[in-house]
Amino acid sequence: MKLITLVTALVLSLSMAACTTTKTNTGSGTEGTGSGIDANAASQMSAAEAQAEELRRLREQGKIVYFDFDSNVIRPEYNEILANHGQFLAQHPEQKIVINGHTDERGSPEYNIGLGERRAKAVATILMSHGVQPSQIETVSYGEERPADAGHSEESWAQNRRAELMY
Amino acid sequence: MILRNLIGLVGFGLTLAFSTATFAESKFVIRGAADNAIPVAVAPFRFNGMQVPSENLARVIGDDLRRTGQFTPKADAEMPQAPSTAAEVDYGRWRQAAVDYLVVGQVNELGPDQYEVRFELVDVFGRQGGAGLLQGGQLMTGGTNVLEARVARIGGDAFRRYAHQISDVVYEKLTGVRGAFSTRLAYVQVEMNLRDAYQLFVADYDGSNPQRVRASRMPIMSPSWSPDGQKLAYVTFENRRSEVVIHSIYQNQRQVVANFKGINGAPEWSPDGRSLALVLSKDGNPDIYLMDLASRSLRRVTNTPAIETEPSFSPDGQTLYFTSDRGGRPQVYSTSLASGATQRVTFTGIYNASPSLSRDGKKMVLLHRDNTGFKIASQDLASGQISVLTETSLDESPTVAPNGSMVIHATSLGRNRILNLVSANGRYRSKLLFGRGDLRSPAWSPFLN
Repeated sequence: MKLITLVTALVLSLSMAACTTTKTNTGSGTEGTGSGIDANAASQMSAAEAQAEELRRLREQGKIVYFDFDSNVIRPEYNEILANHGQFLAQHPEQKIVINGHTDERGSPEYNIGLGERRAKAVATILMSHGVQPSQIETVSYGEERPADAGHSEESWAQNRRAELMY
Repeated sequence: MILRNLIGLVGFGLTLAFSTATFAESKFVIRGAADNAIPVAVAPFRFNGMQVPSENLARVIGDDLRRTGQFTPKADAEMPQAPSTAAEVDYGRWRQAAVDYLVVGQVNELGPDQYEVRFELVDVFGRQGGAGLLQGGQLMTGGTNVLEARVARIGGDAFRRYAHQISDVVYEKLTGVRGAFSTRLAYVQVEMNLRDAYQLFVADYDGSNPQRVRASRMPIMSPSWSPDGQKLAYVTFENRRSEVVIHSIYQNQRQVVANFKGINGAPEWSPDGRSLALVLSKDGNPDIYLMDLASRSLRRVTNTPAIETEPSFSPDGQTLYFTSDRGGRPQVYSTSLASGATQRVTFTGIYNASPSLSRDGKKMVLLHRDNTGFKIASQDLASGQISVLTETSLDESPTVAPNGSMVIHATSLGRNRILNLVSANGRYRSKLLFGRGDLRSPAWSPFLN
């Protein structure tokens, strides 16, 4: 049930990301024709601009990984997004990333710092499997100290058990 | 009925008392061991002067005693009379009201912002001649019934402080244990509508007189007091990563003592003040280290692939208690700093964490998950028996008064986080601090005087 909701949300956000991309390209007038990135236009962009554009698209695809209770296992639905982040970082070894790990509010705040680090490191491990160098990655665990949702319900907790990819 | 029981108890106490040199102690130990709190009354202090004090001393003292769960102070309305000196006490009426001990006092204005406070602690049943009182109802003259009498001169801003000192005297006289009411509490207040949302405060133990020590846009957590009460070690994320700092709160000087890669967390001062136990993940995963504060050298205490955190010293400083999930779930372990011998300490339930040891080393207060949620509990170390102290279900961060009598912890109320206080015997529970924002990470100071 929950999984279905998440998958739906993911598909939705992906299709929205695609829309946004299209719109941007159409709107800019000089950069494309409205059907994705034109090869000529892309070649005219500076490398830095291209990288920024790629990063923007990656962020739109998703930069938050949610976890099950008391788990640091990354659910399969995140494989593709994390692969994209990993390939991007591997192609740009000068690019750094900070992965923030978070937990819900239950239990010991100190132990939750440890759990949050496990989550951040689980994401780091996947990125490294795509060739990202350890020196590009910093993990920071905030435990339960920075909830995304301040509520005390199951729904709030699900929003708070997360790792965030911060460029 | 109650009265008869009490008289019987007193008689028993007296018999024992005469057979030992430590008269008062045996008597009070026996009363404390009974399954009832000691009935006391703190009569309203009589005020002689013009400028009425801003604080009600009797109320502060009564609240202090009540919070330990070892006393049941009478409400003003239930008091048979309002004496302000021992000489005014009508013993018969207080005996009928089933009050064992009575605090009476007065405040005399001496001049502008100058007051004299007198108080007496009265044993209603008397040291000698409880029987005589019963036969004749004759008033006993001062001395024999007065356990303690003191006079002090204070300024107008010192009423609360002095009231806590009176509570300390009364508590120690009646239990044989040093009072912990003149202590302080550090905690974090989070107000997300402020730019510097995370604020470290220090207040009286009961939450009065809060003073802000530090404010930051990023989290502050895990304050721990130095044994001299002058410094706090805590974790700050103000540089967007965890760092352990030591902050001299009265000089407002700060220094970073740990900013390694990964986690720098859960600092805990050793009882001798020379070292800091803390958690670092610089070597791969969270482990406990001891930092010698003079040399800053590190000694690794645990070394497993699991999470080890929340180091807490035994009162003698020889043993560290900590949380580890090396067995799959968080449980409390102990390790001898001399031998390295390590053992698991908690066996009840699937989640035990946040240990702190009582001053006598016999009990441990901890965070314990039962089938209704996360609770503050107390474990008898000899038997392993766990007693749940709280009725709330999202509890965390227990911190114990330096005499072991009370526990303050964070919990949730509605959408907010608040601080609650529970007596170590579980008989008293109450909200302590709540209101603005979320309150987290309470840390009780050591004795300060």
